[in-house]
Order: sequence, then structure tokens, then C-alpha cells
Amino acid sequence: MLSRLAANASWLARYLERAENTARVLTAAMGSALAPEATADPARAWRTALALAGDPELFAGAVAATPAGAAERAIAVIAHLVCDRDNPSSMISSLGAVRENGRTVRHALTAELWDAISSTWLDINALDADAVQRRGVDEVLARIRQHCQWIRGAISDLNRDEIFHVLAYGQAVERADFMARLLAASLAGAASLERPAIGTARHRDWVGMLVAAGCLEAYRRAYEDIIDPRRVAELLVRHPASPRTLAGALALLESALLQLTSNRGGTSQALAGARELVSDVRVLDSAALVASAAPLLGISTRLAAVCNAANAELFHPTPVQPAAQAQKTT
Amino acid sequence: MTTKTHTPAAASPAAPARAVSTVRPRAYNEMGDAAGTFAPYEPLSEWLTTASSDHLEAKRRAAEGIFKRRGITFNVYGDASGTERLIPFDVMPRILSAAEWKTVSAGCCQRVRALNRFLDDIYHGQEILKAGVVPADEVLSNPLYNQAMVGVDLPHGVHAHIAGVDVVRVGPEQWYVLEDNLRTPSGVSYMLENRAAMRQLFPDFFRRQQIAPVDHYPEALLSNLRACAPAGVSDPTVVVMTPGAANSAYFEHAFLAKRMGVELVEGQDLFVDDGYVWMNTTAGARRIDVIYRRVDDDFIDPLAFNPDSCLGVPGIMEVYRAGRVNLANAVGNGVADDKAIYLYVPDMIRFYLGEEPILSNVPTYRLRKADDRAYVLEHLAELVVKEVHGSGGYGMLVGPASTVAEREAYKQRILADPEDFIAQPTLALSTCPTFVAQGIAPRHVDLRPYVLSGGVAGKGPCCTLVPGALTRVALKEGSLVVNSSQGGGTKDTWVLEEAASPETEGARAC
Repeated sequence: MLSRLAANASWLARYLERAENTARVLTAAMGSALAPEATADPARAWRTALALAGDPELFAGAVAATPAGAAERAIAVIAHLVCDRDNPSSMISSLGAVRENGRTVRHALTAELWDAISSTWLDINALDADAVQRRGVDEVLARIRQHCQWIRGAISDLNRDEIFHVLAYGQAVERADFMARLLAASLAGAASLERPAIGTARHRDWVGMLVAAGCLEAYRRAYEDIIDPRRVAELLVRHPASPRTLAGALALLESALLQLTSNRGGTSQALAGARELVSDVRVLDSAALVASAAPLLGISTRLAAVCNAANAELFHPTPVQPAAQAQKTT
Repeated sequence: MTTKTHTPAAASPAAPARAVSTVRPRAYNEMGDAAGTFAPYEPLSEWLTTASSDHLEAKRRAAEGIFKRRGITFNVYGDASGTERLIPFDVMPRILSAAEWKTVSAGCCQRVRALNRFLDDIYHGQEILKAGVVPADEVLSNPLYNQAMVGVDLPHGVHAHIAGVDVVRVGPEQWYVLEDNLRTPSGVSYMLENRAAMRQLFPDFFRRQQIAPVDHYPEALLSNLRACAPAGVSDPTVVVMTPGAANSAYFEHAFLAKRMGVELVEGQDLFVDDGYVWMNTTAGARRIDVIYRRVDDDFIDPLAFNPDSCLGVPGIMEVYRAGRVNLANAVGNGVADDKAIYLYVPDMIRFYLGEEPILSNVPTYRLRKADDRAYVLEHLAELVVKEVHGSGGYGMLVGPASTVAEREAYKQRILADPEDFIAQPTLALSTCPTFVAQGIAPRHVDLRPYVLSGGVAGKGPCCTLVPGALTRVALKEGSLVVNSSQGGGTKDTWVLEEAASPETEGARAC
């Protein structure tokens, strides 16, 4: 596969994952913003959402004046994250990027996958702030998630060849990065790991974290028990049954890189980095994660290093020196 | 001889005669009176002045779409046209102030605490019968008194883990309990789904008012069920047991299993071996410790009860009696939510708790008593007559809404089996604004909060209520029958919080 196209395919998968993550973050924020404790600090839920799924500074710059009322603020943040074309990480921008990257590799995609990508874009591209409010935010988010799942379903039917592994790589990188940031933000803000009384604001915070991670149902099924912050951290870091955990995403990353670097005779730095991350996350202590965000930020940094290595090895390899080529031909 | 002033013998002394004496008194409107709108309804009232009926209709349709997509359905027995229907949902919320809720929740909790004590007592020492507070024959000869439960010790002495207390209101501070459902009360999934829909439809109200969340109900339930596991089980396996997908409340069974993250089993999945109950899984047999069963007593064990039942588990009663599995709710609860025993609940509260009842009983006539019967037959057109062992609004006569022919037919039924019936004054159930074909109009409502009983090791039983309830509304003008099987609908019920106190709100332990 051409390196250029492989890079594009990896971004296709990253943006797809990003759109879905943003939808979950927004769903969680909408729940928090309507809880009774939100009257004390109506902006809190939206600050969290912007920090996780957007760019707080960009938002501040895009909205001329800080919206006065809680309802106006909600509408502004939702518009920013759903359909603001000037926000590169809004869902509309992400799904546009899915399509643009898809176009460059369209010849390598199944007709069904291209249909899913293209139809998604046509549907989402029609959205603007008014349409989101008119159709109902929950409905719009549900629709976007449906579209993302349609695309993912079509991806799962691809042959297990290079493009499939590149897509898996892109999804894994984005998911691992998101989970590391979500964990860092949420655990850093948690006062303690004591079990919150059911139905309290602190209890809702932990439930909201699971919703943002897309892991609430996974938690219920895994433990068949009430919310225990230690288990929430445990599940999001490395529960073996959930594909949406940090460890799960890193394992996916490792296996994708294993496939993509199989012709390098085990010399891939990207693969080595991914393997180290997998084994380090396995022994991360959830108490330490609450005490300090440093271990999770460390993972984000090292993840970026793995991406750089993968770029160098797979997607943007250093061009072969023209001089060397010239020598060869002469 | 009876006279016009005959009053039922068991009328609660707290019940003011004025509220029950007239046939069709003016109903109390919960939204406001001539002097203006009551505070909890102010934002709604304000919004209604600007909302067109087209807008309301759009909201109604949106709600219907939400319910359809989520598959929130119920089955009506005896309806051949289709097995799944949407329950009518009214987009206008019912709103209770913190103070109103405090009365209702404390009152319901009090009742359920007393009823749990009563159930444990009548299957053990029978102190209340010895004291003559409840006549022994009313309990021991009651067909719902279950001999199999005599002497069975249950964790924390809890028999009714989940109770649905039906409450009606006739005045600002006058609440009556219509009945206590201690067997398999249903409807809580509507409380939760109604809230989810309302948050989508009317987010602005949730920003303007501090509406207490109810979403943690399944977790509170799970917590209680786990707390009621057999002694010595540290990490119990809890399941929900359903009669199957054809049951009218199947949606709810699946809903609760999903929200608790536990398995949804049928009788055919379970078996008894080695003194325990097990479920068949792909990983082999897995032991079960607590069963939230939505299967009636009669069908739970073909060896112990109805031998024809295919819904139950042969031998489960023996395991249960030995304390190696717990059932929620307990077997044999029917005797306590029977309309005959209902009469004595206020006395139970005094007897067991030494407290005065917070919520009153509706004055009730027993038709097995000649005096009561004669009075009731003379005044059928004013009264509501119910079957003693009936539930769900089936088989009742609402006097003021009945025809002469219906009353005559019902009279014959009463005369054939007088002991099977009770009668109550027609209460002027309070009304709430409801969106109907003609626009916003008052319709009669009732209230069903769900009381959860569990226990803490070393501390004994405790009782929790999420701040919310199912409000059922009679959609037909003037109708007082709110049951979904009889054309009633539901509303979301908002309990307003006084002031933000994040660590004390939510599930409250008694």
C-alpha cells in the first residue's frame, strides 16, 4: 500500500473514532448539565466537555461574548462541538475528514464502505445549529452514532489486508489517546475513591465518566454491582472484557502494528513502543492514578512517540536520496 | 338499620369526613386555584402562555417517537389486535414541592416498614394477632396466607423489597393510600423512561428548576437486593426472573436487568441441585443467590404450588426456606396487600412502630358485614366497589360513572359473594394539567412511589425511596380510573429540591 494512502486511511479511522467519542462526551455533558447541582455552576459540565472533545480557547474565541444564560451556553457548546465548521474537531469537521480521506483511498474500499462514508457525510453536512436544536440534540447524536456504527460495520467486513490494519491502527491511536485524557481529567478532579452514596452528585460524576467513555453498560455487566470508583478506574484502564478501555485500545494498537511491521524483522520502534505501553498499563495502579495525573500524561506523551515512529516507518518514510538513485541508474 | 350517615367501621380516625362525603366534589387542582398558580408550577404556567397547541402537539409526537424507538411497550391481556402497545404518555409533568414529597415519602416508608414487620410477624410469633390488633381469622384463613412461609427467616426480616404504594390526593395536605402493592409492583421503568424523555423534550425546565434525579433507581434496587443475599455470601449473584417475553411487563423486566447489569432468566434456565439454585450458562452452572422474580407465587415452584406451572423452578421453595437463595419479593406477601388487611395498616403502624400514620387510609366498607352491605347496595351510584383479591383496576365498579344496568349486574355479583368485595367513597382525585385533544385541561391523577427495603449488616432493615414516582392519569374527562389497562396514561413526576445539598439528596436511608 502507498504510504501516502496509508496515512490517509489512518486519519479516516482516527476521525471516525473522534466523532463517536465527541458524541459520547456530549451525551454525558447534557446529563450533567441538567442535574440539580448544575444550578450552582452551570458551566462546569460544558467546560469538561470542551476540554475533552474540543479546544476551550478556540471556543472562547469563536463565541464573541460568553453566553449569558445556561440554555444559551448549552446551545453554543453543542453547536461548537457538533456542527461548527471552523472547529477542526467538531463532529461535522471530523466526518468531513473521514470522507476526504476516504476519497483518496476509495479505490481500495468496498463499495459498501464507501456508501456508508458518503451517505454519512451527506446526512451530517446538512446540519447547522438551528437544525440541531430543531431535530433535538439527543436525536442528532443518536443519528451520528448510528452512522459511525454503520461505517465501522462496513470496515469489519474488509479483507484482513493492509488497509484494514491501518484503519485498526488509526482507531486504536485515537481511542487510547482519548481514554488517557478522559482518565486524566476525571481522576484528577475526583476528591476520593470512596464509594459515593447512590444518587448523590458525586455518584453522578462517576456515572457520567462511564457514559463519556461509552462504558456504563460494560461496567454494569462486568461487576453486577453498584458504582465503586476503584472499579470504574480499573475498568477504564484495563478491564479485559471491554474493547473500549485504555489497555484494550493499546492491545489493538499493538496487534495492528504487528501486522503492519511484519516485514521489518522485529526492528520497528513503533511496535516496541506500543508493546512497552501495553505492559506498563497492565501494572498501573488505580490509586496512583488518582494521586497524580502524571502517569496518564506520561502515557499520552509516549503514545505520541509511537505515532511519530509509525509515521517515520510507515506513513511518511524518509524519501530515498535522489543521489543514491542517480548512482544506481548510471 | 343503616342510615344516610352510616360510616364505615374501619374508617381511619384521621380521615376528615368532609373529604369523602360528597358524590362528585370539586377536585383539588395541583397547579393552582383562583388566587393563582402554585410555586412549583410557575415556570410551566409561564411557558404554557407562550406555547401554541401546535407546539404541544409536536412535543407529544416527539415523545411518541422516543417511546416507539426505545420499544417501551406493554401488553394488554384480552386484546387480540396486537400484543405490544405504547402506554399513552402526557407531556405535561406533575410537579411536587420538596415539602409535599417529604410527607408522601415519609408516609410510604412508614407504611412499608410496618408492613414488613407485619409479614415477618404473621409468619413467626404472630404477636399482632395475639394482641388482637388484627383478627386472627382475617390472616390465617386468608387464601393468600401461605403456610409454606411459616417460620422462614429472611435476611433483615424483609419481605417486601419493592413496594408500590398507590397514593391519591384530595386536598393540599390530604393524601390517602389506596393500596399497597407488595407482590410484583410494576411500572417503575415508566418512571425512568418518562424522565429520560422529558429531559430530551424540555431541557430548559431542568435548568430553571432543581428537579431531583431518579435515574439511580436500578442501582439502589441492586444495592438492596445484594444486601438481602443469604448470610455469608460476600459477592452475591443477582438475577431478574421473568415469566417470558409474552408477559405484559416484559419490557420492564428486560429494562431492569439491563440497567442493573444482571442476567434476565426464565424458569427453564434454572434448576435446583445440591441444595442451591443454579442457572445454566455456556460456562457451566452458576449459583444464584438473589432472584428478583416477577413471577407470581403460584407459579414459582410446581412442586410446592401450582403443579401445572412451567414458569417456575421445581424445588426452589425448599432452597428458599432453607435460606440458601433469597426471593424478592418474598413468597406469601399477598396476605398483606389484600384489600381486607388494608383496613388494618394504620393499626399496624401504631402497633409495630409506635407512630401515628402519616398517610391516611380511605374509609372502607366490608361487604361481608350486613350493615355495610345494606348501605353500599343503597348507595352504589356514589361508591367505588372493588374485589378484595383483585388488582390492576380489573373488575371494579365506579358508581358515579356507571349505568343502571351495570350497577344491577354488579349488585348480583356482590350478593353472590359479598365477602369478595369492599367499597369506598368516590374520592375526588386531584387533577393536574394534561394535554388532551381540546388543549390543556385538568385530569385526575394518582401517584405510585416505589419503596425499596433492604438492610445493613448489624444495623437492621432500612428503607429508601428515589425522589420520584409514577403518576398515572385518567385521560378521559371526568374519569377516575387511571390504570393503563383501562385507558389511563402516565406523566413524569418532578420532585423539586429545596436547596442544593449534593451529599444528602437522592436515596435516603430511614
